[in-house]
Amino acid sequence: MKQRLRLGMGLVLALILTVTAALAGCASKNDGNSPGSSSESGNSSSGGKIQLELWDWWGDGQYKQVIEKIVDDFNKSQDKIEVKHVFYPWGDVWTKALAATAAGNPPDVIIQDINSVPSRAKAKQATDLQPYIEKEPGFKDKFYPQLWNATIYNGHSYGIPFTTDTRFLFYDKDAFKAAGLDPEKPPTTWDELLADARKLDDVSKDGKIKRLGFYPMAHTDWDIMAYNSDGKDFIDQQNHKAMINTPTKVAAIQWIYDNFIKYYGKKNIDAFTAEFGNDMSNPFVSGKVAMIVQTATEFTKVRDFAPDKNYGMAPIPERVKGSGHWSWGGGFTAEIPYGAKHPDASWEFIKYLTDKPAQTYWASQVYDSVANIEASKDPELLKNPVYKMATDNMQWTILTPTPLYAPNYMSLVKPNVDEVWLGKKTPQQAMDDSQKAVEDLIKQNS
Amino acid sequence: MPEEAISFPLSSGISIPDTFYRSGSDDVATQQRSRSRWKKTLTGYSFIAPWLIGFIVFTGGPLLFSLYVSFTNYDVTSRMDWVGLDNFKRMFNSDPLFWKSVYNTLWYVFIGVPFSTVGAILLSTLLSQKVWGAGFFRMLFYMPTVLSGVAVYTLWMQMLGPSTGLVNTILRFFGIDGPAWLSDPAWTKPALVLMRLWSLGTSMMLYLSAMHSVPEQLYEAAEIDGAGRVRRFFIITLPMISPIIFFDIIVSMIGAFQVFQEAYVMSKDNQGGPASSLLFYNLHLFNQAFTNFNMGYAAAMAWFLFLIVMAITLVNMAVSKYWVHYEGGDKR
Repeated sequence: MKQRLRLGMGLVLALILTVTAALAGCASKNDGNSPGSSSESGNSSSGGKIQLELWDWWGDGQYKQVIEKIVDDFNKSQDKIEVKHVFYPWGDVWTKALAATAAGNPPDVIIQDINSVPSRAKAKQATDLQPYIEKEPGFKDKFYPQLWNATIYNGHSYGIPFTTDTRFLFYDKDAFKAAGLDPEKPPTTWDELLADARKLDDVSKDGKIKRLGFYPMAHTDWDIMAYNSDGKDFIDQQNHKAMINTPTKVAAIQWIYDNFIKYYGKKNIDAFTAEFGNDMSNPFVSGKVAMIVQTATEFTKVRDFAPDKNYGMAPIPERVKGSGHWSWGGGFTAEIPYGAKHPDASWEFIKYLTDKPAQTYWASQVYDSVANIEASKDPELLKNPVYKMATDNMQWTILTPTPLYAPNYMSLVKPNVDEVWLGKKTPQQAMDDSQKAVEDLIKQNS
Repeated sequence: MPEEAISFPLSSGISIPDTFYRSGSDDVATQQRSRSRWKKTLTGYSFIAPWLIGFIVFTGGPLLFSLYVSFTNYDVTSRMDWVGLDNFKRMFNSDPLFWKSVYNTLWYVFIGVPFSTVGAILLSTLLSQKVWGAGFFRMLFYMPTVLSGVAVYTLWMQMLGPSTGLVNTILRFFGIDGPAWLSDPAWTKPALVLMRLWSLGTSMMLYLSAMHSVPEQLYEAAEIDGAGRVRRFFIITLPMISPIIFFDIIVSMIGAFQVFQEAYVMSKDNQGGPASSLLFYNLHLFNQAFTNFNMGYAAAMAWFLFLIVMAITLVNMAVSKYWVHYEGGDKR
């Protein structure tokens, strides 16, 4: 009796599992069909066109208008492919795309972070674009080499650079004048920067800060100054080595600690910086700092929120004469997720997106630095001084793609540097500890 | 055939008559009976099938999958090779941030939960007093619970601002120079505990209803015996609501172990800064899974957390014998 009962339960469970499997089967069948069916229905409705989806996060304002105009222009430029613009919130779009790629039903083109291309290449999340690139002679030379190199995994490119950014110094000319400084002579070295900054400071006797001439961690982190100190990444990408406790990097941390954190007091700095925000409360816009290191888009904030501000621009001052006005850039690539249904058509769209007309249009509307060299040097665009500054600054801009053998290594470095600001570690100690932690990380991953 | 009462995992609503389990000598009759029982079994299962299917497809399946994944180097898209205990070894031996995240999480659980439990009991004691306007205040204190997520955290980031934030402004009124809550690693976790105390609504409701169901005559008897208010609270109210306290502690602890959003929204770079002081277990897990694509490692972390929570809950259960009072009598 008991046995029969077990048999019965077994049967029931088996039945349930079958039903489940069947349901799951149906579901996946439907899923498998839906892109096909949508493109088929697309076939009937729009005359045999291949339907593509472009995923990004440009869901409002200027960005949305600009990308949709580019998509529209592309759709009108030929009659085989129809691209649809789909946007999700920043950050979400990548998690969503990851899930879609894992499920075998990815978008056709996606805008991705340029610093993590190799990790997607390795994990088979992005399509190898090398076969397409080889069919187009001179294709890679259209782009800034440091951007192009960031997209390479095992000698193949997995993403085409779309936009980039670079950081340089904005300074308030009126404040310079008021402090008795020459508004046409921005600082060029760290020493000059500091001397000018002190003159621009407005700090009350009890240490309360009303305005700082310069604060290296206003809207950027300390790593920008560390990159600026020697123009080198924290990782020697050629030899797979951590290069964190180098003398110049340690000196950069020491410089920030001595001249800012210790000089003004951590508590006062914390109170001062806690009110930094975006737009209106952007520290340069609101006049809380007289100099700031920022991307070119800072200019749009000033334009929109402090139109009367009379500002100048200069490369980031160098650590010592001759060390270089190094800056840091990020950016985005256009990629074809692995398993996309129409890679040839996707490639056609990516080519359009990264070619001169689309790139020029993009740059002229949203003032991002674009990856296409020719577009970025468009004479019309260069008439805008901010844009010209950004383009010129590309020569000083390094990218720091996260290597596969040191995933998320900055998460090991930053806490150590935080301890320096707290006075718990010396810069040398912090960078030595970071060096060791990242060396261990590299050992584990190779 | 011996008669056996077979316990059958049907939902309690369906009862099977005893006669079912009585076997006859006649084979045909047995067959018939077993067939009709089979039918009933099927009916029973078909009633709970929607839940069963949902469970297997959406919970049980993924759960088992993640257990398997925790022994692989799964990265969502390209590989899933068996690596044995490697993920666990790496977790214990060579991931410095792992132990940091364990420490932060335990801190939050063992400091945060006592505070919020005591806070909720005190609050509901006050609100259970029969005074004018108590209903209004109950609503007022429950309101933060209705608000949710990122909006609340953004609001708190403003309130915790060092110089113009509401919290420090109030502290300054009392002559206290408040800390830079979210920039000073020593104060980030206390800031989160403070924030936790703000949304006690759910626990408060539980305690309120438990307090209202304490029989009035107990208080009367104690009063006649000369027990004061405080004494009555400790010898009557607390023991009488102890099952609810127990429930609340377990649920809050499990919830506190899963702390994630606060740290994700309120920390620097979403990485748990400053100085990793807000790097909670689940934030580290999330970064491993979705920034580094170490899904296998993240799954291993998830199962380890499950073991920790399980162990602490079991300890809680064991200890509860000594302080939780059930009206059905002590089972000690």
